[in-house]
Amino acid sequence: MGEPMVVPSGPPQPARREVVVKARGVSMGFGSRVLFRDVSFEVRQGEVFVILGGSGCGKSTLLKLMIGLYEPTAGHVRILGGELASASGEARRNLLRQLGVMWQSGALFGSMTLLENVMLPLEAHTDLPREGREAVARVKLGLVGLSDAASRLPAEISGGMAKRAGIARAMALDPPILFLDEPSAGLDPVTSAGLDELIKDLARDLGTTFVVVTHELQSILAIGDRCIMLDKEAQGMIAEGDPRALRDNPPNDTVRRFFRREVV
Amino acid sequence: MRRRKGDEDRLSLVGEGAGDRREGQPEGASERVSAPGSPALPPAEDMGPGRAPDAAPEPGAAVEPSAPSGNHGDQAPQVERDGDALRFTGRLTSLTAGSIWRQALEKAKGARRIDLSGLEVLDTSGAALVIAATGAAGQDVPVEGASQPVSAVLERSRAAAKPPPPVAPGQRLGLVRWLGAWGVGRVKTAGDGAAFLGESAATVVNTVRRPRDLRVADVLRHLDEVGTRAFGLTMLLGVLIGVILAFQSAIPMRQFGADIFVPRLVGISLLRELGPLLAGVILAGRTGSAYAAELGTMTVNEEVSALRIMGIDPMVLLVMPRLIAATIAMPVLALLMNLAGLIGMTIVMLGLGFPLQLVLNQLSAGIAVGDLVGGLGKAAVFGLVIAGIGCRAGLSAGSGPRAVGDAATAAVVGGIVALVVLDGVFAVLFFRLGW
Repeated sequence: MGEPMVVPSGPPQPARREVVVKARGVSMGFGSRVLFRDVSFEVRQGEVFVILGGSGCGKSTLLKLMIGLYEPTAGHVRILGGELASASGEARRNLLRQLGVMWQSGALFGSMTLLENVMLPLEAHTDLPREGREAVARVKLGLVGLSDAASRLPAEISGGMAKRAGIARAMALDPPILFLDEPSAGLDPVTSAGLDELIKDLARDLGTTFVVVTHELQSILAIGDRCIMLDKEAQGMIAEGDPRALRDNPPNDTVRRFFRREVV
Repeated sequence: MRRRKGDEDRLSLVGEGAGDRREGQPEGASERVSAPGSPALPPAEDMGPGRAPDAAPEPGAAVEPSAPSGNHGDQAPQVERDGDALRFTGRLTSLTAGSIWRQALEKAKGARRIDLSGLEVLDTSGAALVIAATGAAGQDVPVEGASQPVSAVLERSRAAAKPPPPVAPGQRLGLVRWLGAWGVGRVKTAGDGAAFLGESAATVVNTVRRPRDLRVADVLRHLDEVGTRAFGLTMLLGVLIGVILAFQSAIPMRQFGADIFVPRLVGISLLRELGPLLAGVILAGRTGSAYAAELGTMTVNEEVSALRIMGIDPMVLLVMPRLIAATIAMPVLALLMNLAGLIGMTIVMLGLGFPLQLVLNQLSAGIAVGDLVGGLGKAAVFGLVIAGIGCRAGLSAGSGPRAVGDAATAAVVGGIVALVVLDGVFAVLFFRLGW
């Protein structure tokens, strides 16, 4: 596979922004099945970086590679200077504390209230007293608009609320990078737009870097500063750049069809 | 809000993009501004293989540029009372706020203003402490001296912070009300059980009338899981129980010269009682819980609802194969348990010096076919009831992963209790019938 087509981003990237995630020549497969090959990209601090592509192209797998759940078959992914896949012990723990992950299903612990869910990372990683943990957790829930649902169990809230609670828990430790797996999947347009707003607000006001896996066009265009596109057929990355620029000047047919929602 | 001169300097180099809000840069610092909350980063080119991940700094803290930036450092936060001012200095983040939390709230009492001019870094967790300290000092206490990034985080957190709702006074439940609620709950549970029993009976009748509805492949699969895969465990426990029974009875009986009757004692105990009972315990622990967990997960995932909506009766598709398999497999397991127990007993008797022929003669003289058949009949009923309890526990599971655990627990506990109660009923019944 050749180098992916790079479309110039709309607003030029400020040169001073740090690279917080760097993937070089990453390949992944399961058994004899190759998911993608030779994927390289960089995520810079403070941006909303979107990984997009059709179903089954390996978006979520790439996210799991980035957070160290999977090990690539080739290449490496470095986050904040460290490589999660090979780190161990306290180094790995330190690195993991820099990340927050919102899982596709929310992955909230069913036996705990939303408040307790958000307090859990604080209990594990900080020496805050209980009232401090509770106060911090309430701020996080307030940031995602769930102040009034703090004492509810995950089974008692809607899908959109579960996703927002997942974000609140992911940002419990104020990590510099948040990974979101399909944040708008299965949500109604209004809730989805609200979630997009929330992501933009948090990126703007708190300076958090977001790595978002999604195939929701509206979300991609609404929140993405930069994106890469994976393709199942090409078994790799086929485009990189500003999502709006990719939409307006698609570098190839696959990208054009994706953004114009054309049936093959 | 009053702003100090130093703030202007810091603000002058704060990046315009997202992520540059929480920390100002002193003049002369590197232009490479990092995201608040992220660590000191090497240049992109330096992030090559071999970079130790332990270089990752504390989370929740704003990034220090890789170039020296003056006097930031990893300064721990401090809180001090200066006259009527409560002053925070250093880096107030999720990882550092805990060290001064209680101290800050204590010192905040009576403060007239909160001075944040010495704060270098503030994240939303640190902001929670500032908000809590403001509350401890009094709601109208002004917060002064915050740089723009610190102020932005504080304002956003303040807008998000909402005091916990007042706890409603707990309803006092008198003993009578509590007993009443408990009783109603028990009656409801018993009613649900009776309904399940009725539904099962109706399903059996319907299945007999329309046998094509029953999926034979499922029955065979469950027979394998309930029966074949439990053979090893049943054999092992059976032999051990036989050995234990033989030893424990041989010791006192030897005192009366009656140890020759040990085979009769163990044989009758196993065939009439212990064989079916222990096989039932195995079934309840191994299969009843598995049924409850499997059906409970399907219920939680709404697979059972999907079946109902498709017009497929879950009782026929899910419950009947399990009931049939357990009812068939249990007598086999009980028989296996009996045989294994007798083998264990025989080993002990041989070890005590009794010839094999003598042991066999005692067994044939002491036990009758009726003992064996009665025991196996009991076992079939045990299997039916234990499987039914497991299925019912699964199908009545609530929501969430905890419900699956609760269902499995209910299946095991209910199964074993039902086993003992039924055994008592059979004991009385057999006694009355003279069996």
